[in-house]
Amino acid sequence: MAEIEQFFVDNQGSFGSFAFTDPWDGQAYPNCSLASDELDLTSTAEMRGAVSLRIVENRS
Amino acid sequence: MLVYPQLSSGALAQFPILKRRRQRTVVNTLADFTSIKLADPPGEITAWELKYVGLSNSEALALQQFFTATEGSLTVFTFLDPTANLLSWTEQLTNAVWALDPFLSIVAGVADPAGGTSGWQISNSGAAPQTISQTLSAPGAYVYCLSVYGKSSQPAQVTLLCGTASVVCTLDTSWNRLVLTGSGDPTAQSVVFGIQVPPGATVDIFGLQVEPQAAASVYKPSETGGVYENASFRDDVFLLTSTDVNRNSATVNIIHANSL
Repeated sequence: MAEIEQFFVDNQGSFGSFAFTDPWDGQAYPNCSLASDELDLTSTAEMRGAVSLRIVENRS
Repeated sequence: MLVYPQLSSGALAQFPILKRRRQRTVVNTLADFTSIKLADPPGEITAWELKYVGLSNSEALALQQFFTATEGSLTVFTFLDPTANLLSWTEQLTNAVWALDPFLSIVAGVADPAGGTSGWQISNSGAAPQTISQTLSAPGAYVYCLSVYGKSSQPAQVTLLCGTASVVCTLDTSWNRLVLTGSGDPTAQSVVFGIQVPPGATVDIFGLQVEPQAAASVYKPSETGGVYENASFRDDVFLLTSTDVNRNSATVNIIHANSL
């Protein structure tokens, strides 16, 4: 959770870009961004939490 | 300074805790449908939703009085993130936020207990105890828990410093988590947390963490820390529900905007 939150902050939400490997087929996408400027982190218990991210490929 | 109150247990919140991070990105879409993006850091907002159940009457009264003191969303206060490591740059002890006494030398890249290489070796070449510390702009009267993993290849002791509290810990050749719970000077508006290394000693440390509670939770690497000055209530309404004798529930929304 903390690492995902830091990743979101480091990317400044949807501004930054990064490489992402699709976990479904292993294909690498060199230029991706987070789709949203908003991140909800829910801590449900000690060492238990939930968070959701949507990643989009940037094409120019 | 106004400071969001801890519960009588020393905890600041109860599970579940919702934390919302919001950034602002300015997007200019051009006529050819390409776009230019620009980050807008002053637009960053962090918000927490804290749900309390089973609060005693005194705990509920403390929250209610604090809400009255801030006049709802009008007055800002200091809020310590209950989900965060309050220290900043815990994986970079060479960062300027850390104060190192002159005879301390530190080396990065030591194998850590989590399987990485984020540990640090600290050596004191001086004739007196030397300290590595970080000062937080946090209320002295709070209960804090300082924790750190430590080990040493030779018999050694270190002293944990947590405000006015300190404890001497003996290090083993394997990693152990050292924990100290304490407070600072109740009238102070900053608290010092650190580790004191005796003369001639060389120790390995990893995972420095400070939390606004009485016990340590799992280590969370931190860059920005968890002290939010100028936080405020989001709403001008504070709804307190009495559910039983000496049992109350409430939901509090707190917000921190970089631009304030």
